[in-house]
Amino acid sequence: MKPSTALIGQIFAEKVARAREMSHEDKFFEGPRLFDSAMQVMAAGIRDRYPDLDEQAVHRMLRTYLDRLDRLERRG
Amino acid sequence: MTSEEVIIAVIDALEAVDLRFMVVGSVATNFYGIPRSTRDADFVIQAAPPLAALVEHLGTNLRLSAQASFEGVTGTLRHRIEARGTPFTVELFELSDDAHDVSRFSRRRRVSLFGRHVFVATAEDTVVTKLRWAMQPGREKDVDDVRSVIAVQGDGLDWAYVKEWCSQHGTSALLEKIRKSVES
Repeated sequence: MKPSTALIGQIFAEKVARAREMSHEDKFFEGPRLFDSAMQVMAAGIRDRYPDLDEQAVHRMLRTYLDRLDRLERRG
Repeated sequence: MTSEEVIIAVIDALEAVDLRFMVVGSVATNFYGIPRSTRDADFVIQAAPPLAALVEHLGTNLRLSAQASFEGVTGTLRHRIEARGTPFTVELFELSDDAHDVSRFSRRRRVSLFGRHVFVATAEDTVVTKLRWAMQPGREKDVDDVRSVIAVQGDGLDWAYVKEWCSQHGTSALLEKIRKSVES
């Protein structure tokens, strides 16, 4: 089911209100922190799928996935 | 290293080599808009970096790429810094002679963060730059970023300044479209 325009608007308004309440430091670091969290989840997924990989190989695969995501994003 | 530690280490290294800088890109957008995940931090630096000294101050966990590359919109040089243990990267863009690049650097805002003075591009200049980037193919994220900054900053933006640069960059129509979408 597609969310209604009103719901999308309400969610956006809530995000705006939350952003206005954040401290300067939290706003500055929120993007990198979100990225770090996403990387931890992705790395855990890789370890689960390929349990024999060492940490260096996990990180190499992580970078490969990220580059692929970047390419897809650029393509639109 | 965490991404946060990478950013702080780069700021400290730039200060140590006495290179003036400002934070731009998605970290600056997050500062003024609705924060989103980002895998890099972009800085504009006032001059070509003193490479040997910068490498020394970056330490062993950060690696400055041996070769600089060209950035597409203003044609300036870009230096990339990679960190040990994280795919998070930092890019240093040399200040170009592009009129808006010069203007935004002169208007950069000093803020106190984590016990340091950090220079960040203003909200207006973040909007102007993101609109310019949004005209390139595959840059839909930039439209979302502009929308979020306009929504969070509300009437606090200097619209005369933003409109003047958008007129020069040919991005006025896109700006108005985004403003209308925020108002609705």
